[in-house]
Amino acid sequence: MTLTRKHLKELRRIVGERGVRADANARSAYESDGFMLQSARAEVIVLPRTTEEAAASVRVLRDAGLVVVPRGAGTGLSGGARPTEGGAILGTARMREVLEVNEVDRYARVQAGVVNVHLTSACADKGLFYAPDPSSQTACTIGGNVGNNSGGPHGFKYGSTTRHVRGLTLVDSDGNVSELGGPLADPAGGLDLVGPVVGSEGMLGLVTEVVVNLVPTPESVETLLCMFESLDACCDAVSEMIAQRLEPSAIEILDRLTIEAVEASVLRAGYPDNAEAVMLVEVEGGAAEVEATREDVLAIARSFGAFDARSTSDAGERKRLWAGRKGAFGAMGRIAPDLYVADVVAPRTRLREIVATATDACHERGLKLSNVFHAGDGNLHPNISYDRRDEDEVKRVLEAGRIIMEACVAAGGSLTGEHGVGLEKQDEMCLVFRDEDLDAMNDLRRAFDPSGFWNPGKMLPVRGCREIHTPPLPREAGSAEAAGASAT
Amino acid sequence: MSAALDACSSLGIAVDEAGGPDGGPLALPRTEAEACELIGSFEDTSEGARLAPLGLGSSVDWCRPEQAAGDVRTLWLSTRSLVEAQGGVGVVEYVPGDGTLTALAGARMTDLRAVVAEGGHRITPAIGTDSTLGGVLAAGRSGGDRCAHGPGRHHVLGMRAVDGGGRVARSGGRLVKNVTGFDLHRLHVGARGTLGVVLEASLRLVPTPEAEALLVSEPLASDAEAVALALEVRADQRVRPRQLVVRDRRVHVVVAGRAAQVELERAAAEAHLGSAEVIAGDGSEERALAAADRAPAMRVLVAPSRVVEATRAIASALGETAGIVIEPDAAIVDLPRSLVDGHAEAWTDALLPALDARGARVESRCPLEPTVAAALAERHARATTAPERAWTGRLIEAFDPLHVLRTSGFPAGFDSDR
Repeated sequence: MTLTRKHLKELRRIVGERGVRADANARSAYESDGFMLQSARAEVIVLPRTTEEAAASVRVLRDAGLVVVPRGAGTGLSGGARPTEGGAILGTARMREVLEVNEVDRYARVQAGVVNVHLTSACADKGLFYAPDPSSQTACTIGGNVGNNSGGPHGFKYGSTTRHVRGLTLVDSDGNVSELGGPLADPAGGLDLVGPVVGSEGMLGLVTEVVVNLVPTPESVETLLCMFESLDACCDAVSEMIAQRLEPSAIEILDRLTIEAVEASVLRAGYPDNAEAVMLVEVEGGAAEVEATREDVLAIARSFGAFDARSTSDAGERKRLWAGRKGAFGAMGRIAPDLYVADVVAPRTRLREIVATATDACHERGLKLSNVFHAGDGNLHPNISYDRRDEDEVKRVLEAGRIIMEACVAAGGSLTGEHGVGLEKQDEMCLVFRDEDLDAMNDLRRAFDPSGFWNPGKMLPVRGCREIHTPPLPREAGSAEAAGASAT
Repeated sequence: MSAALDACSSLGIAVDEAGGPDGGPLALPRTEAEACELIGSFEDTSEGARLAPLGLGSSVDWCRPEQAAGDVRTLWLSTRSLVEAQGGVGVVEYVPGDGTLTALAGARMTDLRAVVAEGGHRITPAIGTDSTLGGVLAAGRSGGDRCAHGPGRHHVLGMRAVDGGGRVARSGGRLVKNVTGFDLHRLHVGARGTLGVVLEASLRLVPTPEAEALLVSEPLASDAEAVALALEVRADQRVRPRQLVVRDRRVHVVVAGRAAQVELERAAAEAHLGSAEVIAGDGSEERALAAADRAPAMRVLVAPSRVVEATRAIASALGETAGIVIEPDAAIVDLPRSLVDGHAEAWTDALLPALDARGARVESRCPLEPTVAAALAERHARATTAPERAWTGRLIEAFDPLHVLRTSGFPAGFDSDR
């Protein structure tokens, strides 16, 4: 079977004309996510507005014999939100309603396509906020955050998305809808089915609504900027802060190349032009707590060679400092057309060592490396600027990326801290997990999705012919594209 | 069962013939390999018996051995013997500089707390009773500190577990941030050993606070009034309680953190509580742990906005509330066995319908009278969808295909003779 005119007509009936895209332009726009090194086109992109529309669309796509890739804003950096070959993309871009904000019980119920920062805006007047704050939070969606168990700078204090999801609505491959968990504190009487869905990279079903935890806005917040003459010293200062058990809400590091890119961009944050690295720290809580922690942070920074430091509680200045940090990836566009954002985790006692490995790997291959990362969590983002039109440079970028991953794993670290495995790190899963571990993960996947309908070919490496996932059924030449061309 | 005991013998595993909590046999493996081999071969030799992990037994009531022992015998598998054979307290790795701990499932929480205290850390969940790490995780327990740190499951970084087929699988890791692969460990937490026996787990630790104070109010007229007062404290932005518990009609508030901040929060909390006993410094942690400690027979989960109503409904239906412990922030009401046994009619005719009307969910953690069990099963059936039941069923088939790890009544809707 394949996607026929009848299927397209039925999809349009369900989600409306604007919700079905099968033309070449649209398929091209969805052929990759933030991991631009590889791409593949879906046969059709479906954009429902409600859970009911999503469930009905699933039934049509299943009937058409297509596999489905769930997708939020497509800001993911591991290739998880694009197809491996053919199939359909089921996007949540039109599911943008904040359905409920409950001030007393401190939760919100949102559609999966709600943009992360919009949720916090929606509950700000109630003295609450949504804690996970990925750098892409002005674009990325809550559903995408659930798929990748996304973090962000303030994950140091508040943890990643999984600690903030109380419940979710999941559509299975038959188009059935289930509400898992909910506003109440714990699973009752059964297995915790919410836990494994968070971070499952869209492989267990389509998340259409999410019940998230909201956190009271702190009484006092200060942002600190500490300047260092050496990136190593900056890393060591962070390790010492962790060892001293300080509890700021975020500890970030930006190196010189990143600072230069940010300062040359529209996001100019006022970072110093004479520092090899800066540490951006946020301290929050009661006023006395903020004061005590600020002094401890500054003392450690100075003892590790910080030549200058400043702190601010001014909302405008704080916003500017954070805009520079969160816009750093975008600012790298000034260095080269493309950016490879590595996402690895190292034990927090070994930050300097992994940064040095990344520096050497890139230097030896003539690559431009910049570092901007969640130092407090040990979540490193060595960023390599490159031009994807240069095949040799692409090859060197991937080599360097693999060396960084291997070094992290050898140091007791991990492949990914917040961007997911997707397609990019699928093969490297065998560096971290044994066959038995991967078999058990496959069992989990099959328990939710026995037919391999959801996002096949991602995360779990193919280790033998028996594991080759259900491919999309062959498409009759031109059928979907031809039928959809007039719909755009 | 005799064949299973013979299998223990042939594997060189010692058996304490009456060492189980039900007087049944307790296998005492010395190595992980022995334990895994016993589990992997169990179905062939079990003659219909089941196998259940046993730490110190503090959560055993939750796994309902009495019911399982009715027709089905249990071979208990000690996780403590694996620790004792190694000669230490069960710490695999404690990294003070990274704030992480990896320990064997059979490690005592009290021992682990002592080890990490040396490095300036605490374990969350903060559990006061003498339990093992594996027992705490399998039972899905959280500590009194969940008000500040969230439920215990949020601090499990990774795990190794052996499933019912004898397969050892690992997920997560020892890092505070990591999204590599599926979070299988989240499935095992709270699964009561039905998907596998936890062998080892890694936890994210929290810093020992610079200062800490426990405030205990005078007893109020009712639990509902105490809960209302606790919610008042919760709503005060000047106070960020580490722990907020109502027990014996008294509100227990723990404030902790930087010394100067604790002084401010203590004063703010006292303004709500009026004349309160204040315990600060040495002994405050132990008293706080004791205030939150309980082994509930029945748990009621409700929204914080309805926890006062739910508490009143419990008092009205049962006529008493002695022994209940309430966490108003998480909106959990835990009832002791004395409020379950002998109250079947009150539960089925008055309390469950009243809780239904307040959007509550009820979870049993002890054997129930048949009418109450049936009423709860019916509620669970209404609250779950066919796909949820199918996913749960397939997970059980994948991780315990021969049903050697079954536990009566859990997951809800899956019978012990499944």
